[in-house]
Amino acid sequence: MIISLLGIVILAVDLIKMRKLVLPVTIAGLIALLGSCIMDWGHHEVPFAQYGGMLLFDNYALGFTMVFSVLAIFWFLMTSDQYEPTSSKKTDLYALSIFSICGAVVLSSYSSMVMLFLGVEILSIPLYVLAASDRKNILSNEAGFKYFFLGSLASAVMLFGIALIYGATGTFDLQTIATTFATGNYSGLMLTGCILILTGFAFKVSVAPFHLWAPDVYQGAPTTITAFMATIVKAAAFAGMYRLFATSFPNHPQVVTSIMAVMIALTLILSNITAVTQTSSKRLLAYSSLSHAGYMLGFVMMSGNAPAKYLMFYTLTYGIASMTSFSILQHVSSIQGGDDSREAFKGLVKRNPVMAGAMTVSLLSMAGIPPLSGFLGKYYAITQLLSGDYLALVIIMILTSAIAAYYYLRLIAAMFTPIENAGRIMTGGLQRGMYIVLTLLLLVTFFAASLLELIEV
Amino acid sequence: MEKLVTLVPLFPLAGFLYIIFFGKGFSKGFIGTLASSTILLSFIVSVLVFTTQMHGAHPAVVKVFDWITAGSFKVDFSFLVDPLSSIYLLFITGVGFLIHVYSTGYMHDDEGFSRFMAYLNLFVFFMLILVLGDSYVTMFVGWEGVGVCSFMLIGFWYKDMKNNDAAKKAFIVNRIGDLGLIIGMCLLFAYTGTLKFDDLFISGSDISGIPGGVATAIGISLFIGAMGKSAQIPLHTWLPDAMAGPTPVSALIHAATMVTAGIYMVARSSELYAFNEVASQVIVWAGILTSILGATIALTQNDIKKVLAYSTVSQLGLMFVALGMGAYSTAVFHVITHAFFKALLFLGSGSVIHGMGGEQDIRRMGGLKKHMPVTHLTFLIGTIAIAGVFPFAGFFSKDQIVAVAFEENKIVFILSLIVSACTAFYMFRLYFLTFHGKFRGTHEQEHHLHESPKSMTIPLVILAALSVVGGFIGLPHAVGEEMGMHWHWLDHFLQDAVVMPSMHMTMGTELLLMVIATVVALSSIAYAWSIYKKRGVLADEDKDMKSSAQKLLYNKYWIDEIYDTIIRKPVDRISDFFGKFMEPKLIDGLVEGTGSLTKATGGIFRMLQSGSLSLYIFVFIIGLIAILLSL
Repeated sequence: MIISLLGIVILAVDLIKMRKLVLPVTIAGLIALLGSCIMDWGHHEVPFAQYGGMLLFDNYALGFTMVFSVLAIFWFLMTSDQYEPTSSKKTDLYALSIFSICGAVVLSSYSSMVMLFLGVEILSIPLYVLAASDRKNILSNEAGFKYFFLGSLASAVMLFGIALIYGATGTFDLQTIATTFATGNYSGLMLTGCILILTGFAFKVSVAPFHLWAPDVYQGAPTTITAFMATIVKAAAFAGMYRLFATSFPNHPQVVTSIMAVMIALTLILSNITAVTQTSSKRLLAYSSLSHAGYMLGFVMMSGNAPAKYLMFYTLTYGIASMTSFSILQHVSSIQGGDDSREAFKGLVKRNPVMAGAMTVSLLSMAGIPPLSGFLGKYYAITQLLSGDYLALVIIMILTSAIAAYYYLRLIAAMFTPIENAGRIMTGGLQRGMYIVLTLLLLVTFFAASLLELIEV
Repeated sequence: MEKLVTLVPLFPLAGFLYIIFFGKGFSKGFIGTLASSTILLSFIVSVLVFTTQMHGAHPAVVKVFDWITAGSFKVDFSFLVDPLSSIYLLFITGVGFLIHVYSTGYMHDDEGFSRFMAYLNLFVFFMLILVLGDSYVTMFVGWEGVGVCSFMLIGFWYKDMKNNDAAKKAFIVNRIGDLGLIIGMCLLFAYTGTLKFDDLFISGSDISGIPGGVATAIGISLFIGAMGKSAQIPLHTWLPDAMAGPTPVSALIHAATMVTAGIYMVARSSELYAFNEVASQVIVWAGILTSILGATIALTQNDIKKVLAYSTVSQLGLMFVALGMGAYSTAVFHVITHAFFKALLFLGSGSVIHGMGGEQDIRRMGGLKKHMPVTHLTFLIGTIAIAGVFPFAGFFSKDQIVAVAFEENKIVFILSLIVSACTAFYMFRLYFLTFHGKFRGTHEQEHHLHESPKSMTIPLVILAALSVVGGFIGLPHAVGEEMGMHWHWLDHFLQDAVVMPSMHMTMGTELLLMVIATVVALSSIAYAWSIYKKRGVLADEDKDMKSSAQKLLYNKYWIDEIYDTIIRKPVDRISDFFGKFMEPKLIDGLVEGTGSLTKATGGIFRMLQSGSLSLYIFVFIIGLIAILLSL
């Protein structure tokens, strides 16, 4: 397990010598990772531990690692045409993203607060570089800098929280913290620590009011990197957050729940309403990504009883849809000389039907229209919240998703608006294949999930 | 044996599907034969089913498939075979077969021939579902299905807007009735938890628990459904207009079968009505008023089919009188004899219209006797039968209704005698004006006159024979005893299916009533004869109508105009208000307002996103402090 993880890292670093092989080797490594996860799945009655028990690979960790590797495979394949095959930049970027994925794996499997913090940092530090990777673009540099600056602040807050909890319990181990917490006899120190960690995570997953960095960074960073951040990174942050709250604070006090509820409501309202007035489609997708964080936080809020499989399903299906739409956006705007307003999408259905089709399906999935898997994700979120009697929150979810449908559909309408003298947009065979596969996946997962009522985790 | 019953509706359905999907390349002869033979097969099976019932087989429920299962609400698609449904099967398929055969001749030159035959088959299918259904729900499927077929067939010649209007009117008026039926069904379900006839009536315990007021409401709601289907005041206006359809349709749907669905439904629910005085009285009075209204309007109409249509309205009213007075089997008796002679009359009128090249106004006819001998003779038999002359079919069934009325309510009795008098008069007026005197049409029409083909006259002859002997299934006691025949056979046959009244009439009274009825009918006929045959009086042209009573009747009491003023115009005005003000100003304003508000808010939120790093940090810290303060 760990071996394959290390293997990828070493490979990615080493491959500077043979640049043409970077992509196949990366994919092979990820497939090996995925394969080893599947092999290990359910085999261990007792989850097997690594690094002296600081990482714990139970089904939860394996499941999320699978989500990351699947999304990463798609991401690498889809963005493969963005770089010259021999540029040194490409290998740098690949290595950095693989490091980041290592952080993601750590975040899904940690059993100690130390590893939690390490995971967050391993995840984030490559991202600061990636966000600024378009060196000639001032916006990209700005994004990297902003992200780094605010990210450090969040890391500091989180570290402070971890320190407070250590002070209160004298341990980093999640289980031990949980037993202390479960007695109900915890100090204010501990609660404060818990909330500081929550704040740190809130920043990482970009929920209001700690979301302000996200639209700027998402827009400034190169679109491929934005896709990476909005999907894999977000999934990883939520995986870490859920693990912490489900393991250590399963019955978190009312005040924590209330804070999360307020965060969800704020996120949904702010992101969806602001998205309506956006002219840049990239920024619009950034806000859309924010609003999905609102839904996913719902699962964390209910982590006391909501099974992790729902969050897993949501991150996977949202990741697929979001990645597809970012990738298509990248294609279209680069053809249009960087224009990513709705105008740029006009007539796409004639110019490249596959793209238009994939984009439509992805947007509809994010809007939550059946029979696409995005609908099921939202459905699970709403049923979970309903089971906890958070009716007001559910109403906000439904109202704001109506607003969301408006801006998604407006983009779709643009694609189907005919324009004069539209040249065709060419795509590589690999990309076209990916679009078709991903679009189908959105359909297949819907039916598969409905049929299986989701696998047990 | 009962399992066979599934086949009965299956044949016409197969016929319909085959003709609609594969009928394109085939000749009219093949299509006609196919459509008719499916009904013939159904008829044969119906005879088998009927025979077992006649020999005392127990009522049986035949399950076809699971239909609706939603929680505790479960409906099987099942058929109920009992005396009531089996006798309905018999005359639906029997009369239906004859009308199919007739249609092959009547519609032969029509370009929509195969579509017509397909619709007829579909209609028979739904009609069979209606009477076979073992619950109100299954019955309702047939109920709506025949409504749709009726709609399609009234507007069969859809190129003429008038026909479409008539079709729409029939459909809309029926919907009002259907709403009543649905309300009745819902109430019934709410109070008993079932809609199966078995549970409700045959085992009988389930309806006894319904409180009296609710039972009345259920009874009246169901009756409103019957009003729509069976054209009773105030929902009768669609039936005369429905004559816009081809004549076989008028005969099959709007005289013999579909319009008697309301009577079937009330008879089927007889246990519900038997102990419900209020609902029953409503039925009696709605019935007798409709009957009077129809009979009086028919006196002055000049369209051959309109006379028959109002006559149907009037006869249906009489059937409801019988139902309301608790004589359920008597009503069914009249349904059957009426099916024979009214189908005969309609088909006869169709033959006349066919011969006249589409002319329907009796003021343009006359003297057809010598040109169309078979049509003339059979039409005369039908006329005598409906007028109620001994021993034709109409005499016995009508006499039974009059006798029941005599027992129950003297006012209704008098009114029903008036209806009988009117019936005899307008029918013979129609007969004399059509078949006697001099021909009044154009020269071309006279040249064109011919007897109809065999495919049309043979059904006429068979129906005429049935109109003569059909009454023997319900001979009154006095006559039956005298002739040594089985009297009140139908009542005995139906006694397991519907509630039987307790009649205790002496044979003397029975005889006296028969004499009175005969005298009334004969004197009406004589009066009609003296006016239209002996003195040769002709019907007035529209502009010559002088007396206000005549105008009132000729214009059908202006009921359509009244509906127009009190319902259609106000509704139009309300629609106008909603269409021109509520929708564009108020609703759109609200809807668009929501959108603009969202956008405006978005603009404000957007300003927060200024891009300034210090502002972001400020918000971050403020947020953190706010959370910590809330602890």
